[in-house]
Amino acid sequence: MARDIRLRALLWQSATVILLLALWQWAAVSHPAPYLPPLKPVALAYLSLLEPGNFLAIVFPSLYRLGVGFGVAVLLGTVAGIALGYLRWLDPWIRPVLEYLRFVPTVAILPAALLLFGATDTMRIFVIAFGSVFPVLLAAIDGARRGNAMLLDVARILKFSLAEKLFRVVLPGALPSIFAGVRIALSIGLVMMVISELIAANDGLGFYILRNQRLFQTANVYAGVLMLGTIGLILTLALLAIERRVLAWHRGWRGLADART
Amino acid sequence: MSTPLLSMEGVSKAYAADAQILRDVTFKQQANEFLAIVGPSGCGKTTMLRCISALMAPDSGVVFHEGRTFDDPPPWLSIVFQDYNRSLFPWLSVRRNVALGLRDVGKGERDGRVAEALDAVKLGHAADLYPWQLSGGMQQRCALARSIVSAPRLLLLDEPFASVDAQTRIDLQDLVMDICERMSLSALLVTHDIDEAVFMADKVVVLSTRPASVVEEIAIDLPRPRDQLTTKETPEFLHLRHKVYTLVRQQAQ
Repeated sequence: MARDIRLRALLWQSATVILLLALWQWAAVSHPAPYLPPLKPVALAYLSLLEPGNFLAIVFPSLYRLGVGFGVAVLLGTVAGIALGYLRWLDPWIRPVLEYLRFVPTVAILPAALLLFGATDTMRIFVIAFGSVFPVLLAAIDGARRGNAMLLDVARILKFSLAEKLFRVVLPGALPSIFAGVRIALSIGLVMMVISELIAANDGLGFYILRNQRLFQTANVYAGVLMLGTIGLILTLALLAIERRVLAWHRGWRGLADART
Repeated sequence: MSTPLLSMEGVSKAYAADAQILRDVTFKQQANEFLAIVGPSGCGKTTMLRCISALMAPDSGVVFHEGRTFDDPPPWLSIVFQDYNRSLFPWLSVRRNVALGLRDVGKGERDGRVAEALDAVKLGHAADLYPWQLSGGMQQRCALARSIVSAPRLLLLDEPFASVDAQTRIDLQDLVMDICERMSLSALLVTHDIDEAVFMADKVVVLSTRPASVVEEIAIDLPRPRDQLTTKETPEFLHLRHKVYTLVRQQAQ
């Protein structure tokens, strides 16, 4: 039964994709224009991005920056958020700064980052991390704060140390919230990755798309955009898979609460 | 006379100037004594339990555990909360929840004692399940196992049977009495159920309405082992129940 539904969903999804591609191909053939290449050259350009040489020169630098920047953001956001959420007396000190910073459009940090770090990997990683840290941080603070106070009583009776309270009580309890923040952070991180590569870069997908646009290699432009979509999709699926494993208890708990109401 | 296990001396607590919860609460509990505290609902029993366990400091008065005062819960104290739903770690299996109650021993010994505690609460078959997969009564037995695995000297029970159905409550009462007897644990049961208090305890402390203070201490000299049917039919039980019930009802008026 569940399999049937999944199979049918898959069919509908494939049908939608095929329809969209067909529409594209029809438009490109019936109204030939340099800015809308037919599918074939786009597909060839896409596949050539996957060739080892190209992958290493174009896709890999982007993935590396995203990996480090996003990783730093998740780690920093989680640890700082848990600590800030738990140590409530810190809140009046930190909260105004956080509320201010989160509304600074992250794109605007780019010129400043360029001044600070130069046209380096560090600059791009910083921009990605800066953009994606806030959703994680705020979600972690929120999750830590809404955590279960009784478990902290239990932890005191069981003689947990501060670190144990943070990482064995507050963190697991905040994980459902943190994962929601991480998913938002991923899409922001992807955007910041591309943007950071549009300025003074000589590799990466953002650079590749921009250069091919200037050279009127339109098939390459679309191939680069499709590659970005692929990266986003794969990372999101990976994240969901991790979440399903780590938060199995939470789904059980929540499913039970749903069943009771 | 030996130092009492627990001694409350003039303990008062207020959350605000016009919200006094405890006023001059004084009583003692001897080792190996099963003490029950009853009072009208909302009289401040939970606040008192938090003061006893040193999760909260009283405004005035002193709580002595074996003659000493504590800023943090004494290591020999454990608690079973009413809200089993929120007192278990939902991300840990039953076995690992119980193992948390016993952290300062080697792995080999810990595994053995955790298994023993699980057997004692008849939860050995469910060791690898997660709390959400258990019924309310089983969750509370898991919490009980976590509380007894360290062989505490004082077991605090905060209305532990209030959120389960009647049959489960009776089973849990028998289970707790049985465990306390076998492990010679001292238990302090906070409850609003007068039958339960008289049936389980060696001494019942009756509290007044808020702000709570001790109205009377009543010794319950019913013989052990006690039985849900026969003990509750004896004239002695009915007499004590009547006495406690009258006192509590006077408070509520």
